[in-house]
Amino acid sequence: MINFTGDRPIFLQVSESIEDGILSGVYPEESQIPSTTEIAASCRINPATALKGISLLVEEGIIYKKRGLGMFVVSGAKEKIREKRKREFYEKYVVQLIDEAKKLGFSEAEITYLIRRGFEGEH
Amino acid sequence: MKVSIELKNVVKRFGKVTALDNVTVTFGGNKIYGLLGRNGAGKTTLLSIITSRLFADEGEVLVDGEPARENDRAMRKIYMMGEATLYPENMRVGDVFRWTREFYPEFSLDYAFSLADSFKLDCRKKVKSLSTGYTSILKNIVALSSNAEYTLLDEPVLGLDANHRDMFYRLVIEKYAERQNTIVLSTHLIEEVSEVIEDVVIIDGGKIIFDGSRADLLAHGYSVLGSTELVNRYAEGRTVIGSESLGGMKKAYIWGKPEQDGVPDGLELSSVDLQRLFIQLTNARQN
Amino acid sequence: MYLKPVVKYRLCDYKRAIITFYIIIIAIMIGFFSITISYDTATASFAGIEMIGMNFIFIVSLTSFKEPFRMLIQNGISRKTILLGQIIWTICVSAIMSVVDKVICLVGSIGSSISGRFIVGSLLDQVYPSKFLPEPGRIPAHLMAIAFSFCLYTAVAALGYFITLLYYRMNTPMKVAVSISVPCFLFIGLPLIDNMTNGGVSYFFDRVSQLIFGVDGSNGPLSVMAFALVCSALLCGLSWLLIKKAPVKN
Repeated sequence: MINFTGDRPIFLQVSESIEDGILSGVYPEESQIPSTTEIAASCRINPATALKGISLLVEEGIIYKKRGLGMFVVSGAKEKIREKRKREFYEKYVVQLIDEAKKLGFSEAEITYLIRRGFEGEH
Repeated sequence: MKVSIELKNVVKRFGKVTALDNVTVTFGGNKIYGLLGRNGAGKTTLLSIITSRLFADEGEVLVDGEPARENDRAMRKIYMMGEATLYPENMRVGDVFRWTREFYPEFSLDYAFSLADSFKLDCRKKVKSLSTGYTSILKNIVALSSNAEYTLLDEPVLGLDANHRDMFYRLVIEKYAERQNTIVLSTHLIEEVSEVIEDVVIIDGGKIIFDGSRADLLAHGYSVLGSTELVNRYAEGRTVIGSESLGGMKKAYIWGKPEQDGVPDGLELSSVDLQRLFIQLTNARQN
Repeated sequence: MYLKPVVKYRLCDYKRAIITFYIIIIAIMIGFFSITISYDTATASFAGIEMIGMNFIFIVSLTSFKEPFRMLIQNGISRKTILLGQIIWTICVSAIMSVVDKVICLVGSIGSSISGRFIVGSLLDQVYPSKFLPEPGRIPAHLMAIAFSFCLYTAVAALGYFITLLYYRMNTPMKVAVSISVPCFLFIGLPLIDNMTNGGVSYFFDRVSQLIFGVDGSNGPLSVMAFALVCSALLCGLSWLLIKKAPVKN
């Protein structure tokens, strides 16, 4: 689950992996997600790091804490995550794509063609 | 009253060699510490002085504000698992557990026996008949079951195979989450322990060269990769702690924080992992 | 105080050794007793059974430092408490052995009444003429014997522990030096000095013995007991000086 090599901060990987779980239905809305301890232990990371990832999701209103019980998925979290990722999509994927494309000397038309090809299912 | 183990200006010499040179460091705040250092850097000496196995030539050790020397009450709060095996050779594993419980009332016999089971450690075996790996396992089980407020583990994964090492780290995290105590993992195996620890103390040649959070340490180091010329130009005026060259390309490890807007074109910026940072820092000191 | 688990540990350690020791002694005594019954001319005398006990506790004390020290340090016990634990252990074991010795004597004397050629006796009777001892067969005499053994055992145990602690603290050159020079001094040096001073050393030891034992044992067992206890205390003090900075060696 966690990639220890590479640049991506661990706590972000934790929150993203939970988000992935919510999006894919592994963690339905209003269901409980694993505790900080469980996440830390199974990923072999410090509980403080796991907590940082969880807290990020709490801040974003994706999960909430039920006292004495644990952390649960907020209703509507799925939509929230989708919206968030849509907003991040440009920064995360498009900028990189354009950068690399420019490096290689692609024109805008060539890139557009490639994207269309991708959608038409040469996957 | 500070809840911590404090070392103040501790000096320890062995003949002409200064093993600990004016060491001032604090372990506390219910965190998992990594005490990192090369072989012979002074890690074991430091831990031995905390637990009165050795005596400092100068300086003092305080546990929760009290001097630790010859202090049974202070020692009760600490459990150290050292490289040396101090148990009687002919004592059986089960008896090691039972006797530890006599001295450490918080010791959990059930937990110890269940761990022995998980590791497939035969409790009827005598200490002398255990392999290096299983001796480490025995000591780790005792340390984890002690539930001591300060649990110090010196080279805990010595001789452990990959599966057992993995189990061990998981157990440390679970125990820490359960007890919220202060755990110190002293090791030269940086990579494995890197994500488990929260704070880092680096000791090199008897001196503390870093004492802070892991995040802090990692934020202070980065690398730039590019043509040798560009890299050298960039590196001017900065603290370079190491470099590697291959052909016309060079990678320089810089101690400090990169600028907000990144690095000049032609250079690739990346973060440095804990082990690499450790290697570069300790190498830099050598030169 | 963490004395209780320390003493418990030390006692458990030698439980088996002590029991084995006494089983062997008793077995030997029974064996010899049967021989004296079966053979008219055979005599068996265990006069001064404390001698064997003293040997035993001395050797046991010689092995009482290193292993328990390491075990107790591992379990976070201070050196102060380790030494205190050793002292209490010594007192307990000496007391137990003294009482058991007395019981053996009493049982032995029953054997003596059956076979006159079987004798079991305490050291006391060997050393002191009866006028310095309480009336035999009565409680004070028994108590005196127990106390006498106790003092001897304690002193000998303290000596054994001190010696092993001394050797632990010494580095190799020192060990060699002491191992050679002490016997040399005792068996060669002293006689030499004695020669040169025309019996000065013998005179000195004579006077010291008289001080302790009195002439012909005229001081009674109390002075020996006092001497033994003083020695024990001194050895304890020296042991503390040695142990307080004792490092854990590998």
